[in-house]
Amino acid sequence: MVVNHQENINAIETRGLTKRFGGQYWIPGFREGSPPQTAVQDLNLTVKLGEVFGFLGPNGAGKSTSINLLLDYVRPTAGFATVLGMDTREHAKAIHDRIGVLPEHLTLWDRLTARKHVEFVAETKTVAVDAGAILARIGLEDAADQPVGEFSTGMTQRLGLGMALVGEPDLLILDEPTAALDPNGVRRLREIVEEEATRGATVFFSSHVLEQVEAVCDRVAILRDGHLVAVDTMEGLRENVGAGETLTILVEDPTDDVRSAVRNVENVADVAMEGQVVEATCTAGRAKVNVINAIRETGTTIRDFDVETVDLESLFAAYAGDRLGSDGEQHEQKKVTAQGGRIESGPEPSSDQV
Amino acid sequence: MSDAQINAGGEAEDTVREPGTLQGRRNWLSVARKEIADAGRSWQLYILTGGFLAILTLGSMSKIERGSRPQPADNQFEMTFREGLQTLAGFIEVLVPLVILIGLHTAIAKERERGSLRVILTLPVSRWDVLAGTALGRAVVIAGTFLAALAVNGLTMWVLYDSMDLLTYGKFAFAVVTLGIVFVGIAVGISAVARTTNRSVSIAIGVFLVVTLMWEKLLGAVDLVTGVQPQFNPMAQDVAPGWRVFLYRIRPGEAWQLVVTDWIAPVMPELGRGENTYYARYTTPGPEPFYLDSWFLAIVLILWCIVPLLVGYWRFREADIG
Repeated sequence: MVVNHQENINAIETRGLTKRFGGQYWIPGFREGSPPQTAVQDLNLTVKLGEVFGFLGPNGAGKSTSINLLLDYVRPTAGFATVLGMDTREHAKAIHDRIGVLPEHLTLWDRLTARKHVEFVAETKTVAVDAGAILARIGLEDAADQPVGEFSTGMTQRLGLGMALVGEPDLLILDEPTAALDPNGVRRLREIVEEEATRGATVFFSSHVLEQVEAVCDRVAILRDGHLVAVDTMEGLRENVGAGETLTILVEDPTDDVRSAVRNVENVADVAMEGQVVEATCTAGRAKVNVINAIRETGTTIRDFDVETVDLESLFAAYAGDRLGSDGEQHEQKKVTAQGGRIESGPEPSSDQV
Repeated sequence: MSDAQINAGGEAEDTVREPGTLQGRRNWLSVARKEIADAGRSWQLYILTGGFLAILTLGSMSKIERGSRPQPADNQFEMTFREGLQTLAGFIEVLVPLVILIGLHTAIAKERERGSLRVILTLPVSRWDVLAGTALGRAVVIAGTFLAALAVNGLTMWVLYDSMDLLTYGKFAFAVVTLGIVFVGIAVGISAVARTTNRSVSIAIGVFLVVTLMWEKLLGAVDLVTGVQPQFNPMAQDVAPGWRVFLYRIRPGEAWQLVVTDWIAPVMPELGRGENTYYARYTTPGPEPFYLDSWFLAIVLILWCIVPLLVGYWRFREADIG
């Protein structure tokens, strides 16, 4: 019902979008604030209608600035963006009429009730709303008439999500939506994202936590230092990073023969031996069996083996550099960067989507 | 609200709306309503009302204590009430800018600083809607606050002055609210220019000083530069060129007092211009040009409200809301 099915319209499209901060002149000659700093550089991004799109990057990568540009909070230094086919600068009001946004670091009005907040949104969008139903959907039905000043941050975040859902928007922009949510809230958020996607809405989901994005998103973009470093499906990202399976084998007799035998197996990218442990990085599934067979043929007994797929954190690390969330495992990252360090996605990020 | 719901019913199936359909929508009214609902629960508002009332009442009573001044023979109580209002006007001319600049310089700046402005701007609400809605909402709140305080003060004056004239007091109250709205324009304009409340408070203090205490000092500086010297005349008004008198009279408090005096003059002829009153401090050598008339000064007052709002919008429209 909600989606405009015109072929040439995308939910979000940015071309050469660039934002530099600072270097603005209030009085000619007097620069305000810090020296110029590029927050987003030449961003080319296409989000198709109906997609659930993950927008990933460590804090400070430029995610918020990108979203601020889409919402016309800040104005591009160069390039442009369209949302639902409309220029963000020319048609901000029309765009905002059809999107729902959960902004980062959400702050609401302490003295107004949850119900009033929802009604205010409905009023500006000139839609009829059943505030009770919206609040029930996000689990705030019992707090509907409580002033928001009495809310916990988690409750405030839920209310922000509820406000974004008012009027069945064509596009939902959720900026770090899981922040401050408890596990229940996170689960509810995922369900809502799936429900909204089923309804036909496009969801643009920004996060620095890969698991959140992986669970719900069709495609993912990774931003680093203001540059887009990858746009792909989760599977595609895994393949790009190096297909990511590590076979660890405990052998009885670790000779050089074993090492060279393993190295000669097709689709083995790297071999490491330490004591009796052989570690083979396989770039294709079939290679694992071949590695085991090759070791057997050298006459050594295999005592044990283990397979490890590339985990999400190291995948993220490979693209986004080392500035990870607290639980990023640094040793995993080393393995991946050995495959080629910071990986710029092969084709132009946008070329495969237009 | 009911309009909105009717629209929504009509559009329910047609969700792909053209940008044009937004034209007739008055989302600044939604912002104003939210401002009013929010302010209604604010303790600051009640402190503001109480403070304003207390100072008003003090101002009304001070005239009584000064009662030793010789009164004209015809009706001394009549005079006392009118002089009471005149004293009050002098009070209010400083009090209203103070109260409103203190209370409202944060209007938009605080929302911007806290981040709730970002929430408003996620909605189909333009920056003009934010500015106009905030100004309107605050103006309504200020008008309500002032009228409440003026009503209570009216009772005080009714007790203190035997000859209190309700019509005159009503006009006076209207004039006070008008001055309040002029300064709402100035304060909201400041709040739109400033990125933080730290900045907005500095600008507000600066503006307050300029439009109250510093204006004559600044004119003194102008006199030094231009070499113009108003001629002191102990018997009547000081004489100066038209533009110099104009500069003196366009100060918001001054213009307001002149307009109010002229407006209430039919009731209080003895306070009209030409008398040796505070209002007619300067005059021109010949007949006064049109731009010194009270109707022109009324336009100046309106500009004092609108120009700061437009300057605020000019800066706010292009501002990065980080």
